[in-house]
Amino acid sequence: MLYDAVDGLRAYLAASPLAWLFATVAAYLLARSLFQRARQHPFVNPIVVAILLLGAVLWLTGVDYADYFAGAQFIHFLLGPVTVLLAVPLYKALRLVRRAAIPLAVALPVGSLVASLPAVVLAALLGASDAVARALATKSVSTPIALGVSEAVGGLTAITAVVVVFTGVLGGMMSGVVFRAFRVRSPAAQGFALGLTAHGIGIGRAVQIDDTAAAFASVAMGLNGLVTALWVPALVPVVLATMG
Amino acid sequence: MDLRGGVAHHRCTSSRDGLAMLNWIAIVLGLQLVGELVATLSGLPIPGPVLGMVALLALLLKLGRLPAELDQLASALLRHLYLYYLPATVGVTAHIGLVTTELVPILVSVVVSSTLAMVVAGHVVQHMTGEGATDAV
Repeated sequence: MLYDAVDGLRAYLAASPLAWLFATVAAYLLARSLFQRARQHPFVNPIVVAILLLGAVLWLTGVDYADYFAGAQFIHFLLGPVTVLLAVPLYKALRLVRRAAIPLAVALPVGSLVASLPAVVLAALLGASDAVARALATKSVSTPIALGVSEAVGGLTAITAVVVVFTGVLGGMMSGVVFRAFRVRSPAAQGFALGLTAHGIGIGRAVQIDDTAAAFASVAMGLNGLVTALWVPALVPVVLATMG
Repeated sequence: MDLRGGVAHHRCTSSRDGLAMLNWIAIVLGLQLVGELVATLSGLPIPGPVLGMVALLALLLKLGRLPAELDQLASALLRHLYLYYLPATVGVTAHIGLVTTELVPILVSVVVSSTLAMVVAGHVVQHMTGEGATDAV
């Protein structure tokens, strides 16, 4: 009797996206509140905690990731419109950095290549699989754009997302040491370097420097996402193919 | 004059009942749709939403200002970016073996290329804007 009811409930939950939509939003909110309670300690990173929470729920209920995604895909869908909306912060920041148009026009393509290609080549040389090497190509790009590129080239989106988040967290952590060691001093330069390498998390760090750094970080993230999305799908498969 | 007054009045009422926001939602979805269509039809492996982003940026540059309702829409949605990439990132639990066996190449390449990018991009901006002398850490 009880088993029948439980089975019926499971069948209902499996067929409806509602349970997984709820679980995703709830995990996000819980992870956020834990992060606030831990006074934003980097070890309580809300993305990592939310992934662990949802991973634990899937493992405990024995639900396949594909079944979960079938429900949660409505949230995933929002990545598209949100990517389009990234034009808004980019437009705001562009107005602030208009004077530096020429330096940015040089730093952007150079930075975009340096943030991406060495990672792909190095990973391939160190014996990483094709899927991981491809995921590293968009490591410095804002997650919604990175996932779009990954889908466009048929990469493993989950690996891409994790590599991007990992790069952001690590980039934010090591930026202070790198700037001191290599004498990157001006707020504009620090901000640009942060946004270019560590996307949204880099902007978060740049906001702590000053307004100039924050504006340059936003421009760097927005334009780097754009530029990388244009060349990575064409170039990275060729690079990996020539490396064998 | 009459016409301008009429337009202003119309704007006022439409923003009060949330229509202006809905207009921007339609424009954003429309630009994404056009982006996806262009990407699919041209066969270029560029994500459609990125093309939509270029189109929206072009629209704003042409407009020369940022409409308040679009600004509100963007900040409301962009504030919770992490939520939207949860469904994709949870998939890593299905590939946890791949990530742990390749942890060394991932770590090394992320650290090395991130350092390179910060130093190279930082110095290009620093030297070309001529602000290297002013310290700020």
